[in-house]
Amino acid sequence: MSQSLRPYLNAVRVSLDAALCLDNFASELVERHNYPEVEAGNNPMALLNPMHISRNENERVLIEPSINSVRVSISIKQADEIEQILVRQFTRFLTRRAENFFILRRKPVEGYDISFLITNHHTETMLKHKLVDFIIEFMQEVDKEISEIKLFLNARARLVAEAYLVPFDS
Amino acid sequence: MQVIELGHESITDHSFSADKSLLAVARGNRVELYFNTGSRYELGTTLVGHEKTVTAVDINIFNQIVTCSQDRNALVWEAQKDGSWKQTLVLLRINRAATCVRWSPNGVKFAVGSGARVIAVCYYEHDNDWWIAKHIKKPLKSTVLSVAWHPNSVLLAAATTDGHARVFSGYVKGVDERPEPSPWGERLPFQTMCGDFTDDSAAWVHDVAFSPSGDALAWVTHDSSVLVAYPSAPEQPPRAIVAIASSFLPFSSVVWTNETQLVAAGYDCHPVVFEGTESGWTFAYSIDDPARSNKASEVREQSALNMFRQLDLKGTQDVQTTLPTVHQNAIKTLRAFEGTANVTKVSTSGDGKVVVFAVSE
Amino acid sequence: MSSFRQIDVDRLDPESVVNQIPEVAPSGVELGDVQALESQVKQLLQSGKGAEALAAALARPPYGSSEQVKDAQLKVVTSVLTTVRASEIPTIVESLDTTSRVVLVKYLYKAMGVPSGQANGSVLLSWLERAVEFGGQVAIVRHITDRRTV
Repeated sequence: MSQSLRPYLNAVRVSLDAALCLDNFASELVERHNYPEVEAGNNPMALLNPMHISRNENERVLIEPSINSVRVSISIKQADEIEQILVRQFTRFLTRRAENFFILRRKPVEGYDISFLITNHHTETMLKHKLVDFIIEFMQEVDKEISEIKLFLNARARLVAEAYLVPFDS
Repeated sequence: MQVIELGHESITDHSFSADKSLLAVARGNRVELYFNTGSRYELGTTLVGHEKTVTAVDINIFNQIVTCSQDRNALVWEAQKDGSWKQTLVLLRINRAATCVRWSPNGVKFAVGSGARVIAVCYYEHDNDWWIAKHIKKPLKSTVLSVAWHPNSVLLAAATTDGHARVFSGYVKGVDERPEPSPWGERLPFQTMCGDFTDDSAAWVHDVAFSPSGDALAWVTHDSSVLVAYPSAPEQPPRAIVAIASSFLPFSSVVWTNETQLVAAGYDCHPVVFEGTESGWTFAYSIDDPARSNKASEVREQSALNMFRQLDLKGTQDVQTTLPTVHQNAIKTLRAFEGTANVTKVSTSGDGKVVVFAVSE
Repeated sequence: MSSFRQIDVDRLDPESVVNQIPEVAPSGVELGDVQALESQVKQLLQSGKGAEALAAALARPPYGSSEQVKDAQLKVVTSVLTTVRASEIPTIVESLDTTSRVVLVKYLYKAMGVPSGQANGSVLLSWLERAVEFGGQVAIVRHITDRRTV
């Protein structure tokens, strides 16, 4: 873990903690409906100012709060083409199973790799500080996971190359 | 402190009857009635009548229960001799969710706030045997999050998401006595606006409350402030508006305990007491203070390696499973439990329990 | 589908909630003011007065001004934030008053949303860490709720 990761995660933690003050709020626009205001985005009164948190150009978090929901979008570090492919596959794997993650959004917000949508129903049924922990842990693990997969990939590539070249080695 | 455990589902609102024999709890699409058996509160009847989330419940001095819901309706429930409850639909005439409801202190009227930018003041009409509503419309521009009555049962304060706390007249001819003149106004026909307060940031106002005398108004906003206004005379700017900058997360509910003290609770999961007068208000102390909780000492001792790993990985030192406060989630409703001019106990709800706290330190 | 079906009818109703934009009292900051501020801040920075430079840059936030003015002011504030030495950050943040700290937090979140600020992400993060340390989490709550944006 590098030195600047801690302030980054700290910033995400305090920002999320401040944003996750949600209320049950029915739509002012559509009769008898109750939807996440941050997704509809058509009621300026119910939206709050977004928060950008960036460690560098690649590692960014966008938190968009509203009265009954918060959207958290994460851009995962991608140093080279292999990482880009890995991140794409990895997030695709997760978003396809979004219903098992409750707060995961099926499609990331434009410019980010993965998005979460936390509504008042989540904060009512789950503990708020645990939700924050989950996001932080996810951010942590995903970096580790990607670099691990990359290492495996390289190792396997080497093995394959060696096995392939054995007949020529006499 | 008395903790009434009522399961896990979150509670949107709760209300005790005047003699504390009955506790009504709104959760999901229903309202649960708990009866005091002396040692504990036991689930009696469940009132089912709303199709969508019940947003508020209130019991008046005659033990009538009013509930309102995001299905745009309000219902009045009355106990029958055989122990069942009879529901009466109120003709609210609103086309968006009803967000809050409160009986007037004299128990003959109630006010319903709504997402339709309307406050419906409802009263019973004997001739037709129904509850009828009169609307306060202007100048509301957004959802009413909360309403509160003045002790004289005529004036009504409203909290809205456009960042204003407003005071209206809810005077209904034939139902109300002509009120005594007060700093808020002398002649008060229905829908007169007697006060309109906002601050620069225009953050949502979550709750409003009149002081026991009715001569001061407090409101809490989403930017964590508590504000108190003292009106001077009708049509005049207020004598003073005092803003209390707090260092807590936003408050969602506020009550006065006496003229110089108020209690607020919200997303920090424990009530907080403020004290002051016209010349200034300050934070006094926290009830159920997490910093002094017994649970804090329960945190397991951990190895230094583990501690640093936690600091590095999660940016926090200890692995918390439970919060050190009684409430494990945000407090949504805070109400006076004992006393009127001098409140000594308050009740709170939010997560699946109702807790009665003593106000004194 | 004919085009009339795609008209957002709510936009056409001035009374509708979609058109209820929270009003903000304009602070009246113009492009000229920002340019004057820029040279003032530059001077202060050259003479090593980081605290004064930041206080000056945060004193008149361009609430309600045009995007152009806001961007210009953002550049000025970012230049101060990235010029000051890391060791000075805690003392400077401590010297700010509560209102300026909230304005600082507003600028930090905004700066981290543009590429030039993202390049200096770690510096801005250490500012944010200090701002929360001295101003408390309330500074963030104030930022997200305040209708007056920088």
